[in-house]
Amino acid sequence: MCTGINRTPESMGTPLSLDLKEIKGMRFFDPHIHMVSRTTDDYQAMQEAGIIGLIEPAFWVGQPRTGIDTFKDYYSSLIGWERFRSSQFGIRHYCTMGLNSREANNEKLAEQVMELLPHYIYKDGVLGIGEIGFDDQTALEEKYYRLQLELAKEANLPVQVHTPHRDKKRGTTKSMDIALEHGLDPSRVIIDHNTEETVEEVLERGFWAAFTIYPFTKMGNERMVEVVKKYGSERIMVNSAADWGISDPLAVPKTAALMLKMGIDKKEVERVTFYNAVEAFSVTGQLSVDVLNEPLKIDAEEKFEGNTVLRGGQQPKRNTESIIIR
Amino acid sequence: MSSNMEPNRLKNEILLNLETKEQELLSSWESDIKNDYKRHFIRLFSTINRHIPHVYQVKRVSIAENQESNLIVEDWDLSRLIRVWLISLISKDIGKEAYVSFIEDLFQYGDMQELIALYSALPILHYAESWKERCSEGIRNNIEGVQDAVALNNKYPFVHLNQNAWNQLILKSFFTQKDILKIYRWEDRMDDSLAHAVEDYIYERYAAKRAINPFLWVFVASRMNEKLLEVLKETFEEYTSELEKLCALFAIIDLPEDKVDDLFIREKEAIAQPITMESILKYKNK
Repeated sequence: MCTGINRTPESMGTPLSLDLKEIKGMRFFDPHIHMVSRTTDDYQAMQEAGIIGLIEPAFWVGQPRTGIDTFKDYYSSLIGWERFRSSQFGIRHYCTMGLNSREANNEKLAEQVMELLPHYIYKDGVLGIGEIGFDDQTALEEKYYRLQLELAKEANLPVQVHTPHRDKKRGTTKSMDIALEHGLDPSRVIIDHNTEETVEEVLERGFWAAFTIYPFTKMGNERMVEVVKKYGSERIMVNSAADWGISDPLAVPKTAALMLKMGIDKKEVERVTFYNAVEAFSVTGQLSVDVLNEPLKIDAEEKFEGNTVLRGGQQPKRNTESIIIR
Repeated sequence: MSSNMEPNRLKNEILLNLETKEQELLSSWESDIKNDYKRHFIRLFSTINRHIPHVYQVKRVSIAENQESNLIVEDWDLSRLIRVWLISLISKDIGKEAYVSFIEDLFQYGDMQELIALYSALPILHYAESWKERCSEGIRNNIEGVQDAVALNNKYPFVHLNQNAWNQLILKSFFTQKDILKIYRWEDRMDDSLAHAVEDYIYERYAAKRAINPFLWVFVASRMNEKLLEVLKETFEEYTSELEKLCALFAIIDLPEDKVDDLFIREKEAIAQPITMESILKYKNK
């Protein structure tokens, strides 16, 4: 989120114009994006850029929660209202459920959340346990990380692991050590927010390596191009992790466009921006390429005015160029 | 209606759409729930998507309407029918308090599809009087599929809601552009307060230069006045289909001839059917 970093325009490199021609007709899947903090403008832009599915991990919501009911209502919105809101724009919404690392530090609340989770993890749309892991790397964070790994094993769900933004290298290693200690299959664990420093070990140890393309504070996509050139596309995926901070919900399609421009093979681009994420999260059987190939349900004909109203992906677009609102 | 027959009627329809393996699975679920609903129901209800192959889940089913049934099953996906069937298996015999608190909990934790099934099942839940607040709450839900499950093809609101709540259902259905014909007995509970609210809504739409749903005219027929007539005259040309014209003209059938513009006289003559509620209702299944 906000960090107070001051960047000069010069240090930002030469911009490449927003030309998404290269990726026209391609489909994208963003396996990590916090839509609860995004507006319908974002949904529309995402739909136009080719995003057809996404995963919203359960996370903190800016300010710490202090009561169990707010968790319950938030979880309900991930499988309810937010899921529906996304469908209005033709985008399939899934989620992962879990107690995030920051709020694990409130032990009394964390205990209640652990009791609440089994009510939600089997629901429609829930693809895994996440995003869990370390933030400050405290003992309590470790306690609840371990408990949720056990829950994931029992429920036969993949795990989406948030790696710390501070002391990342050691935190990532520790996250993997503990997952293996609990007997999780690394092919069921997605290690997220990777960098050039962490990727090699993550891939070597058999885990999925997700990269968050996020301006100023996380990975950039020029660097991502280099990562893919060096390591290929196996078990690598990109996401936007777009949230309340200054972030870009089009990170995935933009990264695809850049990769193509930089000469990466189209099949590799498709893997890191679509197929790998779908595969990693397909464990429950709810998500697959076949499911994504089906059109989102079209409602029965509206009789009014004799026009058929297609739901999903055909929302009216407000005119952002005009001061007139009608 | 005999609520003993309902579960079997639903089950028969479900079985028609499944292969042997899944049919057997369903039978085992039935006996699990009947033996110990507390232990089995939630797990089974929430994990249908893991047990029934996707290709079956999305099959569409309709069951011909039957005087004896409280459910109108029209173009449901099979998963929804299965969920409603599972709900119907919870016995009344567990007692009112246990039953009501169990079902209410399901609503509390329901995901989108579960909520759609739960609201669809309102007409067959035991202790019918206990669900009025819950029904009103469903109408307030923002998720379209959930709203539709309460408002459309559902007998519960007509039978059990008080007039204010019923009026809210009608108004909300107009706001969210639902197919009014699908609201069970929409034509039978009109009152003055609703007609008044609809009249104001017509003026609001007119002022905003937005389309006026022709069914709105049916609701203000009892209070047609000069102002409404003016609006109707000005906007009538929006209506091009026979059904739309029928609805709009329904509002003026009882007016004396001298109050009715030539335009309407011509249109009345051009329509090939009597301008009555029966004519309008015929479009329900078209």
